[in-house]
Amino acid sequence: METNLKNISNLINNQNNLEDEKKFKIASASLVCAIVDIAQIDHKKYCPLFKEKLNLEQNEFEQIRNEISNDALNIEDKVNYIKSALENNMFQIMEFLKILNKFAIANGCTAKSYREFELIRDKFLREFY
Amino acid sequence: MRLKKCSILYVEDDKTTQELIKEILISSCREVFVANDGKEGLALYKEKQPDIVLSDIAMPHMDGLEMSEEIKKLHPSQAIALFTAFSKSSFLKKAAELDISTYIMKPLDEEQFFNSLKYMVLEIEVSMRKGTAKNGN
Repeated sequence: METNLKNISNLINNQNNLEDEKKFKIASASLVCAIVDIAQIDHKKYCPLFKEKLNLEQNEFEQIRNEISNDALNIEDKVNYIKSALENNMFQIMEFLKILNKFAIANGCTAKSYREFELIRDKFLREFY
Repeated sequence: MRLKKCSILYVEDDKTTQELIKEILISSCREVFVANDGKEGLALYKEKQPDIVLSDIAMPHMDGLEMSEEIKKLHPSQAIALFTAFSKSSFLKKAAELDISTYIMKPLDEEQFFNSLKYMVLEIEVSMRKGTAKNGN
């Protein structure tokens, strides 16, 4: 089955809480922006992927992108938030990481952005290794 | 499942690199099978059915992507990692289509290398839970 946020959010207890879903989407998109150089993002490639995988509209993504540009991104906080939303469940976290991996290589990939993905991946999985 | 319980097929044509990585793998995994190119790797894969496949990309006879494509036809959920320097975007497009689990960057960082292997072990656990693991176990 294709991995997307819907599959994951169905597993989250508070799936009907729109505020929580929005917070989850923002945290996820923020991590994508940490992996992929946001100034270099190819909108034609990424917008459909954001919509498909994170249910994120272009205007929502633009808003997040602007917020990140104006504010230092705390990756540790985002990772901890997502882990908690996924109830620290290894299987759900792995599904989420598959999504991040897709984003990491969607626009071609540089060693720098893949390394960033690996660092984020290992923050998620440290206790499961 | 832990890395110590896993069998690994390692495919590499460069003998120096092969020896180095083989030694690292032998000390960490249950069984390590080594092949010198994609063609040999595919034959060994069919015979041994390893848990994890690690492969270089550029190799004679059959490259790592062609071999991965053949393996995925046999077992779509097979965990495969490819060594790459991320220098060719054409390779990435093909690798993404094949749903390659992990990329291992050259030059090799040993800690990241092990973390990538552990990540693949977790992936196998997820496949087992979903019932899509190749041996159905």
